[in-house]
Amino acid sequence: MDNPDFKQLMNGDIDAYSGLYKEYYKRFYNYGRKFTTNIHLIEDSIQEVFLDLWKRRDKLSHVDAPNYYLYSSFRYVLIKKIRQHDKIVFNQSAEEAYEFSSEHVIVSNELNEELQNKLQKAIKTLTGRQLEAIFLMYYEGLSYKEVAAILNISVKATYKIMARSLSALKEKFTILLLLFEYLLLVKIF
Amino acid sequence: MNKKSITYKYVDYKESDFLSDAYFQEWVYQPSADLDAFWQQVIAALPQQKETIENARLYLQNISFVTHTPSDEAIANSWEKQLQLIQAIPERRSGVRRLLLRAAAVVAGALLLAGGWYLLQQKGAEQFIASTGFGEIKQVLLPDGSKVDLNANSKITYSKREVWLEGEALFNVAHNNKEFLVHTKDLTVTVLGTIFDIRQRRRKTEIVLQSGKIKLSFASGKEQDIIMTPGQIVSYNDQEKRSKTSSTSPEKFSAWKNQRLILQDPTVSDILVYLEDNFGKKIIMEDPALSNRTVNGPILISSLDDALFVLSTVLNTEVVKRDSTTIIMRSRSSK
Repeated sequence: MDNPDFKQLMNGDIDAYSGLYKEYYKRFYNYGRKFTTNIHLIEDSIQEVFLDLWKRRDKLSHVDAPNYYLYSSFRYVLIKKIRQHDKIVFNQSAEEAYEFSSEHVIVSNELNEELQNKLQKAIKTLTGRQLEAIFLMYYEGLSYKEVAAILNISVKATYKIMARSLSALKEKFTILLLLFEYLLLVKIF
Repeated sequence: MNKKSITYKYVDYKESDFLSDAYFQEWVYQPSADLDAFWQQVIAALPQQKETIENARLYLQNISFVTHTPSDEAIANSWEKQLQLIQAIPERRSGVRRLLLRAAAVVAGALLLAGGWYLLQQKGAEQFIASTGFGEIKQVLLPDGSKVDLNANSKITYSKREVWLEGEALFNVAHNNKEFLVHTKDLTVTVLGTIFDIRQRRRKTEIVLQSGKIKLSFASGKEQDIIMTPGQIVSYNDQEKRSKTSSTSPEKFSAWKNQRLILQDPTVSDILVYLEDNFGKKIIMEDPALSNRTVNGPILISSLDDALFVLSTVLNTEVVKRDSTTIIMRSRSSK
């Protein structure tokens, strides 16, 4: 992500900072609400993440993926706050999992009723992390590697294997394509 | 490459397995020729899975997430809070760095001119508020690079180069070709890059100029504008509606910035009034004779207790806390 505001922020530009803050406020509010309805915890987390960002603004040149940096910080701080809060208010154990719930998923009503029902069922079998991965990758524009790092899941070996076999396939296709073109040429001339 | 091993993985896949498969998701959401080729290959190898794959694909295309949107007001409020937080961060300055900073100040002056111009280009004059509670001092950085030290129990409302003050603040105004305005309820100070202190308490406003040049204009319209020079103090009383100009030591007047109170030949009651304004407590001196005594020398005002300790040592009094809001100073000798 090449956010110009991020570069300006490193120079202490308060207007750039304001722009960045307001943009991410919307995103993190939306993201945070998937974990909790307590908007105070979300607000406090955003304040904390950004205050820390401002304090370290002159050291940000090391951060090559600001978007990822912000998302992972926000998620970490928010989950921590939800845990503390629940522990105090509900006396809940710290082991409680905080995950996306399938209630935030909307099924398009363009599907027919039968498919809608099947889809609802399929969604219920997905874990919160799987839903969150879809959300982060396809709605928030993070890469698979970044999502894996945020959710603390290893970049699966199978994924790497598939990528490799894919390049092998690609080579075969190229050869085929060349052959095809060659045959065409022969035919024309 | 072993085609079987790739496709084998998908033999027993159900729709939900495909839904949660990162590689499958990528094909649906960010398709490319490579991904297409791969999945066509899988379908060709596993024709029995064709319907499942097509359904899974349809599913992914038909789900989305509930969007929670904060109100514009919530965003604006949050930003204002953040701005106050970052302004409350104390400046980190080591002794060695201070020298470097002084050298850098010349360069900074030039940059501020450029920076100020840049900020002026930005649309909309947003208003911000910074305030201090009793016994609290805070430094506020204005958007144009000017610095304001806010004394206890004070409040400023500000936009780019205009400030409304209640209480006391020391201004270090960044040079800029645009005028800088400070308003109190009785008067307006117009500035072109300078350091000055305004103390507006009860019925009185006092302005002390440390360096540079400022112009005072009075809200009543009866007084003439005053152009101040460094070392001058102008005090205005809203009862008499008249101003008085004399000379003073600006450093002493603004010593509060370093947690010291230095007034010019102050009586005990002058000091107590100051402490009341800055710490929010009513202080009663039982012995009226002591109230009129003059106490010279700096008084440590890092806290009300510190200040009262110094005073009661000098005056030989004891400090009695009557209730949460009232403090009595009682003479030891009279006991």
